[in-house]
Amino acid sequence: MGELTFINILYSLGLIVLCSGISLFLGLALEKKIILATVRSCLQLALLGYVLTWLFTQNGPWVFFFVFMFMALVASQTAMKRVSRRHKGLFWVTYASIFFSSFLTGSYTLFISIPQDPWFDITRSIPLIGMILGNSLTGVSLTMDKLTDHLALKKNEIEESLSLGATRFEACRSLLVDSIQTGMTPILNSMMVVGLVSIPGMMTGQLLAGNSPTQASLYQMAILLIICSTSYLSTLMVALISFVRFLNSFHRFDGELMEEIL
Amino acid sequence: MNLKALNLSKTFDELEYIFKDLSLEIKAGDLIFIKGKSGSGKTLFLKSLCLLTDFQEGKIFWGDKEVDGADVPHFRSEVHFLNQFPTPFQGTVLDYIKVPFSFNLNKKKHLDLEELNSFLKDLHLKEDFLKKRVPHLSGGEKQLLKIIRSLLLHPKGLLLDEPTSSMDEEMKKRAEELILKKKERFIIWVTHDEAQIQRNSKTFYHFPTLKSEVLA
Repeated sequence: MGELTFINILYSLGLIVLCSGISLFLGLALEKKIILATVRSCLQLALLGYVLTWLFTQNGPWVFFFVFMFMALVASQTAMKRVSRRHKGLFWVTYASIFFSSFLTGSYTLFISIPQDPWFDITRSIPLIGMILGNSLTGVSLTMDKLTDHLALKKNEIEESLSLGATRFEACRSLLVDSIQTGMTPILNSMMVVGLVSIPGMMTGQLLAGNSPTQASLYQMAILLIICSTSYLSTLMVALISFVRFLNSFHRFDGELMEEIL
Repeated sequence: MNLKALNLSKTFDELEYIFKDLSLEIKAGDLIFIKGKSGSGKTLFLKSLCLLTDFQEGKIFWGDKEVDGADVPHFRSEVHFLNQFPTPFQGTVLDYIKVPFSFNLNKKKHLDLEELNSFLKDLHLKEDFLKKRVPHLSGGEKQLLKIIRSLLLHPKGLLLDEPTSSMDEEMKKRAEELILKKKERFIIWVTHDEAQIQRNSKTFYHFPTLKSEVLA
């Protein structure tokens, strides 16, 4: 297989045109969304191609760090938008959780588990960090959505426990566990079936680019393990920080925050 | 032990007082009924007493120690607050009763099944009540269940917020008897039921309506 050109994209677009046509013909009202998603994804990826081309000519730890900060910022913004019960400070809690957990596992990756030379080698570190952040984002938003849902819907049950001597942790234990599990479900599910049902995106990319399948699978293993631990760290962090914000040290609900999510 | 509240004030949005400068001391064996207009802040007063809601001024003492932060769960394991809402719990009655016995501070207490059965007898409930699922109970039965669960933990004090409001007269009287059986605990009891007060006490405290008082 040779290099891809715009011709390949045009052919692929043909399928989209077909789908939109069917949707229009049957009155399924999906064509607008399909076209918007197509335009957005193509534009974003084209832009990414240019930005990365430029970035790869730069090098140095600071470039990496700035890009990382920026990506974490966008990831938190996206995660926050997916939470339906917004409240004061949600962004910062999300940002802190995504940033710190990715920073931790990201450093571990770049220095120890998949060491690069030099560690900040932009051509490799950025894609790696991108995968870590993307998955952390999914986990964090699902966990926050579930947790705030639980807090709002189970307020009475939690207060019943608190008023009979439960600590805040005892009163919320089961819903903390459930929220974290919800955030971990996508990554755990994909780990269960990886290689059996689908070949993951990164591995597909490596294979298409002509790398050996064994190398590609080793890479994929390392990445999955890192993604799993990042998801765990970030969902745990976001759940615990939010928990102590919503239930303060007097073992009661913070009235102002609760009012926002009820 | 005595429960003491000193100069409690709570404001709404820091603009108007819900209640202002309320003090109270209650000792083992005391029974205080509180009545007052709906929305006058009686519930928030009870919740302030067990620190389930915040208040802007004042202090709460349990014995001679001021209750704060870390002491709160221990204090609440001895002074129970029961709200008026039917419990949203999803499991069986027995499961519901067992929940608080798993809290660390209640570890020393054991669910006394004999006592539970005697309660059921006093309340004219059959033993299969324990196997029923809580969502299937009536509003009054759910309130009763909440009372049974609390009493099995032998609290030293009770803060009751209209605990019998959804019960019929028969059930109400039986619940009152059960609550008042043990004489050594104190009870602060909010109710709108005039007859209930007269049956059980000569006096009551009239909760002041303050909502109009605006902060300077």
